[in-house]
Amino acid sequence: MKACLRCKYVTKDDTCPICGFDTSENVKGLLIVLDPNNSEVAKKARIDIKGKYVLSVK
Amino acid sequence: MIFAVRTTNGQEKNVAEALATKAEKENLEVFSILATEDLKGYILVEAANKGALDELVRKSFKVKGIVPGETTVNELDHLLTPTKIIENIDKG
Ligand SMILES: [Zn+2]
Repeated sequence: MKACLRCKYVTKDDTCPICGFDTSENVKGLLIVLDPNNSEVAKKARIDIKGKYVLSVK
Repeated sequence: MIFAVRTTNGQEKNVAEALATKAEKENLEVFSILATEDLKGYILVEAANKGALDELVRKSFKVKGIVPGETTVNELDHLLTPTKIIENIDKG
């Protein structure tokens, strides 16, 4: 699994489809945001786009 | 409301993905699902209410049970805002 180094979005690509930043395979955790408008967790993680994210990426 | 759900050890991410798919398919009021290496054998589910959670885990053989009580988003601070950990280390 790869994720964006900036926004932590999970993707198979080498660059993030959301913000265009580089991705890395050195990831930890998984956060699936289904409803960013109602999710306090998403708010806390500053995520406003539905999708799969990791908790940390290096 | 954030609930902890017991899963098989090592299956946390798979269960999170399976439950997310189910929540979408059945249009349940589930807002987010979180799996972390720090919490072995558990995942966290954020739902509108306990009813939505019960519906989500119903008939899911990978879920071993629901932990009684809720978690607050503040208790997840260290997971969701990792920069804080770095700040704390710097202070130490
Ligand atoms: Zn990104």
